[in-house]
Amino acid sequence: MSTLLIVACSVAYLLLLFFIAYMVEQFSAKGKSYVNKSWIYALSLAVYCTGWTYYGSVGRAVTNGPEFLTIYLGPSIMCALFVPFLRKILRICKARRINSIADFISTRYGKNFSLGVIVTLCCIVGVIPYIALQLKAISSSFHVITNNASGSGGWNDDTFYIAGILSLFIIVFGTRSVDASERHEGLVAAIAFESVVKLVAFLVLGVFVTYVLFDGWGDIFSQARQQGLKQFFVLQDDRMSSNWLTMILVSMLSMVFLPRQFQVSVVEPTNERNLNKAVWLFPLYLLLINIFVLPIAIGGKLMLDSSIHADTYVLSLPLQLRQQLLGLFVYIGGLSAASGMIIVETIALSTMVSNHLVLPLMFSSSSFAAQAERSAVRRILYTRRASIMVILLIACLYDELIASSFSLVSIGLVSMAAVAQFAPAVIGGLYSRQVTRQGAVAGIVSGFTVWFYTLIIPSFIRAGYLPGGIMQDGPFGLYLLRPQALFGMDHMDVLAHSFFWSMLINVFLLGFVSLLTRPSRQEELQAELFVNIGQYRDGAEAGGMWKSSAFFTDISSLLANFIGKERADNLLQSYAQRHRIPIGQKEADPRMIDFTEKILTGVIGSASARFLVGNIAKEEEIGIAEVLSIVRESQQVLELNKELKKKSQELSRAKALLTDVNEQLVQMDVLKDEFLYTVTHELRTPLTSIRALSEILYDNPDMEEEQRQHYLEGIVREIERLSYLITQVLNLERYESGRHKLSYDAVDIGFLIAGVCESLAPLAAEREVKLVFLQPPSMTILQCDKDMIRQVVYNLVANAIKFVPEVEGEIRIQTHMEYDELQVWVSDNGKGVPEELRELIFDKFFQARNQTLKKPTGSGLGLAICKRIVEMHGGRIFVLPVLPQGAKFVFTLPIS
Amino acid sequence: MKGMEAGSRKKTAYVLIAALMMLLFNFPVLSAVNKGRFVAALPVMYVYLFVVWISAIIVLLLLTAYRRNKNRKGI
Repeated sequence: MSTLLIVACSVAYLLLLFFIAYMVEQFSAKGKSYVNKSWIYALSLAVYCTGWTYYGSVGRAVTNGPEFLTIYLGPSIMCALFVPFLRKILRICKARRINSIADFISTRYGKNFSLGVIVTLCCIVGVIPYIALQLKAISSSFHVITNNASGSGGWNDDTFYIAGILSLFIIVFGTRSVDASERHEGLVAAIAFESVVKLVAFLVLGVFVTYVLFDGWGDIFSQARQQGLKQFFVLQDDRMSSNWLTMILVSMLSMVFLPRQFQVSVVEPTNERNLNKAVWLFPLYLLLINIFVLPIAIGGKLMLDSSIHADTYVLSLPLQLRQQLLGLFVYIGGLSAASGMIIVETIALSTMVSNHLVLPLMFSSSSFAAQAERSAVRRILYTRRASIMVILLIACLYDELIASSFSLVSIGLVSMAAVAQFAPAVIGGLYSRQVTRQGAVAGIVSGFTVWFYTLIIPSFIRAGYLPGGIMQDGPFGLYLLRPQALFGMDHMDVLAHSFFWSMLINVFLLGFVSLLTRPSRQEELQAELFVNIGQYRDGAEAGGMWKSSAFFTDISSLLANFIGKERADNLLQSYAQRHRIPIGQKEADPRMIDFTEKILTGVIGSASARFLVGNIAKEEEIGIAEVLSIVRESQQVLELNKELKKKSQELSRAKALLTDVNEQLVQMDVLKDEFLYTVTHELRTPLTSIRALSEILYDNPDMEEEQRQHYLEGIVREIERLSYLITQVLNLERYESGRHKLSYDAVDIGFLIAGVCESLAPLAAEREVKLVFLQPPSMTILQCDKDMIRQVVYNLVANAIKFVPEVEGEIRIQTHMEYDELQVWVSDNGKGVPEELRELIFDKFFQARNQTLKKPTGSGLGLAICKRIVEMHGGRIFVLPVLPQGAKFVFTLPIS
Repeated sequence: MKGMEAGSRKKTAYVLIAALMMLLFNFPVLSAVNKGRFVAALPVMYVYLFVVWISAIIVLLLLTAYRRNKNRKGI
């Protein structure tokens, strides 16, 4: 294909990236959300799959069979550990505005300058070859597709151009704001887009190979078997098992500790919810991008000339088969894989270089103090931009001068093994407070040295920069120190050997030196805050680490130097408002100083931030115990707050309950008034009659005997009614207050009803009403209060007699057994009870309160008393209609 | 308190899945499938690895989704 076309396509693709990043930043500046962010963040994690993955997996499958999968199985396992492990790191970084792995480690061990420098240097030495590898992947794929054999020997221009375009992109979208802990949304979106492109390109090629070149999976594998390509399916070497485990471990750790992975999985997400989907989506991505690796490897092996290197099968397959368009697409996929890695890795590295190497130097030089008045924003941005260019330039040089003598495939793994050296210090620091700064330094430095000695020195030797004798006889003739067979361990894969020794020494020294040293108070404080992040999440913010004094103007001008005056004023003011700190005082509140340090940490790293704030704030010498107690105090205040909240909730519940009870009481009070009113009213009626009758008798002493007798009878009757009423009221009151105790007897209910009927027979006869009692066939005995039940029956029957019409009135009484209760039915053919009144008639003085009803004789308490008595027995009482006319009163008594 | 307990149980579940993956993706378990045999014309080693892999992904998906539902209920 023509070089011009390829260059045009490459540039167009990179411009597309610019466009996407730009659009997304525009959108998010307007506060619009373009797409569910958790998809974007999950996809951006796939920056893990580099150009090395894209081209190299196939190459590795050709030489080592299934081993290439380990690099993807490890991260998949790490994803399962996201919630238990990575989330803790994420929370710490969000709470403390930490923006790189170097910052993380230096903050944990007391905001220490030297540790930041060490980690940054390790990253540079370990990772720049990896960037160079990506540049190489781009340039060599470019040569393959343009069919240009050059690229070996001489200054390779195109690597340089590629690096130039990429550095422009990184500077534009990666260093927009000075605050490195601020998100690069456009950039992340562009990375997610690249992830999609490389996946789709690889899948399209895979489908092409599997279903167009071959006849599906079965065909491809049976052809491979016929050709005897056994090495594709089996791990041949017996060293493989140790190597397999090593590669899984290394790739697991690199998933977190590679600067670019730390950037996308910890620094970029705004909160942990952004990574919800990644837990399963990222392993799925890895699975998909690997599913066609084997078919492509077999296809390349079977169809391509043996002179073609396996690393280029991905691109050579479509090109050799004259599928130019597909080839172009695959090339773009590879370009996206490599450029994505370069972009993110360079940003992460440049932040580290500027914050941990350059800025500390600037601060310590005397010239800085003189220029401190001037805004530092520009200088930090320039530092960061310059370091981006320097990093890419070194990568280019490395690619030109040294990379050719490395076996390319291993560079990625070598880098991963380098960053794995941070694991003991980070994991130890996350879960133990005993690990000290000296221990961390010893562990990282020793582990890294062993890594360098066992993996890098041999490649220098192979490249001819060092004498070859070292490999066979060891340095200075020390046979035991041969770089790839330390202490005689030569039956191991190179990587497994290096990983084993470096980790062994790293972990051992970390623990041993930590045991010998004591942490400083700053370290102890940080250890507490890191290990127990769950407890101090808010406490660390509210609590103020600085027991110090500084002038407010100093604080605000320091902040303004680094983030601009306007933003500094805004931030300080809103912080003061949030925490109700009065502004305008000469002395700044300690919390303000703390807040300033936190903001500065996001810009220049924790060690530098502490240094600068320490310069202007006079810190009082306070012991670690005191600092911790401040933190704990604020924690206690929080807990107290929680407690108070709980108490106040309880109180409001109790208050609601009281209100309810009060309402009930008021209602009962109203009922009581009503009751009193009705009772007195009922009492007055007979009293009035008695008074009238006795006045007549008094005024007419010479009244005829017969008439006098008549009036006296009236008086006696009214008095009887009065005393009956009073008895009823007293009874009801006694039942309701619960003072009356039931006295249970074994009662034959049939006998009891018959007795009542007998005593009421005269009344019935008087009104010429028929009274029928259907005797139950057998004797029914149950436990109840005999007198009270008799009263119930009496009231019901007497009521019925009163309400049925004279002469044709008929009352039937019968008993009925139903499951576990006895029912007594008293039915009549009176005018019945309207449906809406069926419950009300059991209320006290129902008659009295319903003046519309023609008032029959009686107290109006009879049914209420019945109801009370039945309920005391645990039964029910209700009324049912009878057809064609009448009412049926039913009460029940439980049998047991 | 109840939510915290559920959270830590979920954490344990994740750790358990990771441990199980570590076990199933490594020797000596792998030596059982590393024989160069084929099942339905597909190499056993790959079939095994991919099946375990996709199962782990499904379990992780279910576990994550389950948590989110719970959260929503809690709110």
